[in-house]
Amino acid sequence: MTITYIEIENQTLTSTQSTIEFTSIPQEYKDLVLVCVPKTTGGGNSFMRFNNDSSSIYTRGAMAVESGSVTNQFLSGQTSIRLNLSVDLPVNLGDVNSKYDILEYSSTDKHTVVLGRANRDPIDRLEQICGRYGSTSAVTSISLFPSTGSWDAGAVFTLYGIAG
Amino acid sequence: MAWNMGLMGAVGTVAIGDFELLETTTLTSATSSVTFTSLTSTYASKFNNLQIRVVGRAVVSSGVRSVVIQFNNDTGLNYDSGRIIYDGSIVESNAFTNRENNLIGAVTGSTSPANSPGANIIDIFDPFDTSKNTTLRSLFGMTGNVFNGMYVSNWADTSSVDVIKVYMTADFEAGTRISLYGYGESA
Repeated sequence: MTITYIEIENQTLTSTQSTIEFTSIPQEYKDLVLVCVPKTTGGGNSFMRFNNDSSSIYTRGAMAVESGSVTNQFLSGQTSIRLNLSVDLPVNLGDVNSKYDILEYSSTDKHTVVLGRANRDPIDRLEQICGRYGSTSAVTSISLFPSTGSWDAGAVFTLYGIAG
Repeated sequence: MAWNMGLMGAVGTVAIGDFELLETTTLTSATSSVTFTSLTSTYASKFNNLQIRVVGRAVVSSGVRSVVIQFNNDTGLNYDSGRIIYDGSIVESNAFTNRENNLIGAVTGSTSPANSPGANIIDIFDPFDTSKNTTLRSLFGMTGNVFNGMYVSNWADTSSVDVIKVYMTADFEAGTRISLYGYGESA
């Protein structure tokens, strides 16, 4: 049987960086998993974009729970997938951790779907999102960028491949 | 038409404790169900847990169709599920009890944008442990017709899981992918 869950690349920042990019992603897997321990210089929202494609073909549904209060949001016609609803990017490392399953990224007959979960301590906020890249192009690169400031030293982003 | 994965199962050795792809199919025609068989004899000695991934569409003139799982051909009312979902308008939670299958997610139908699938990741915990019922957790979503959320489910039977049937009240469309994984070191 095939060893299935393989680390493709880890990026642990030693200095500030405006965008995290995973490029030349191997096409031999069926799904990807992106695990993030983010930290930014300015807080704000985080975004995911595929293949440097900034056309308005991204959609995202999200819900969040915090101390019994529930919020939700749907965005369509976007130029990237907004990964957070209310879990703003932290300036303290470890306040937020998140995981995104990126399904069918290498397929050319389906849109790529992102299923994500994130949580923020110490305010006990939990989020779940579903995003879609409205293109049947295989994903060969992933960009992650914050709306404010830059990714800060210490932030960790790890990309895994899953056979299917 | 239904796929019996027992005819297509992968064989070989595997390192204990790895997350392993066990069986997979991408449907070439409309299919009513996909069934994984001989699971106890094949995988119980190697893995504690199973995971199923379903990515695809339904042959139905609607936007969303629920996907369900049934164990060991048990059609009794032994299945319970709870969920929290977002449908593009509101977030709600629901309980489904005394069912003949577990709800685990959904796929898109023909009124969803072309090429837009529903995606589902289902974790099945301790399916081979005969001291406890089988519990499931799933994460799913789609955005053509907005529907995403999480299920937690229980099959009220301590039998070792030997058969898993994945199906719905419509056919899976050709191109739908259903994959079975094993993980967690078996004692």
